[in-house]
Amino acid sequence: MSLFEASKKEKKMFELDIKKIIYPIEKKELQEQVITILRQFELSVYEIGLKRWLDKILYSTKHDYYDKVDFILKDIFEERLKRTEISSIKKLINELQQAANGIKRSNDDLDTIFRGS
Amino acid sequence: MKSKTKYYLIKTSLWVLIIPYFYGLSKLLALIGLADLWGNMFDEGLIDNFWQWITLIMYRFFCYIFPALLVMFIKFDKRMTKKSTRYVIWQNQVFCIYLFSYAIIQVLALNMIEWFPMRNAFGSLTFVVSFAGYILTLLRKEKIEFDSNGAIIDVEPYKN
Repeated sequence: MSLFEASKKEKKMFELDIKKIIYPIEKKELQEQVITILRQFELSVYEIGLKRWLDKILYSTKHDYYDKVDFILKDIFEERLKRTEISSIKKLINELQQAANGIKRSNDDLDTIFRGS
Repeated sequence: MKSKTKYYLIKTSLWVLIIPYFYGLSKLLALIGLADLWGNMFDEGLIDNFWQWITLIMYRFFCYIFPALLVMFIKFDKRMTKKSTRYVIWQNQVFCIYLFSYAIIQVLALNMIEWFPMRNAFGSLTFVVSFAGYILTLLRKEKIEFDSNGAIIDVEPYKN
């Protein structure tokens, strides 16, 4: 591992952060939104044509939300994550958090209103 | 239509519609962003400005008082000529439904289930009921029973 790569611990911690956000999501539309965000990020990481093609075939065999996100995350974090890419991972986490908050926020708002009754 | 039929029709409508009304009103207020105005008001236990206070009071008014005020205008019995008499009858009904719902939430421990949307509802209900009871008794100088159909002593209630 070079000095310019993220450590295994760092990668695992990022993976854990992401999983904490995306696993509790139950709404179908939100799950699809999360998959789209992750997929876009994954595709931006890989540039090799053959890998992308193989990946597409393997991905098509996944039908469950958890299988899909696990597959994408494994793909993202199996790669050598450079230190310069850490900021983009942080951006990804923020983006996922915002998507997840979309539904949580509306429930929290209603709960606040009920507390006033 | 017979007055008794009218009475039961209004009563049934109240029982069917009041909780969706309560939920709908709260949802509407959440959608227009009232929760942003209220912020952490309930966690801190402090009201910061006049608008937080007045919106909270108005919300409680529309939850607990307004439905009875609305139904008060429907004449269902020629003996009940006074609007105030009809108001007390329907206010009792509204409180009865809310208290019943609140009891269900508490007894079934729905207030401890995270996904249950109304787990924090009716927090001030018991105070509203007591307060309304004192005010109405004081103003009308009549005994008031807080049960479902024997609204006022001396005005013959319908029997179930």
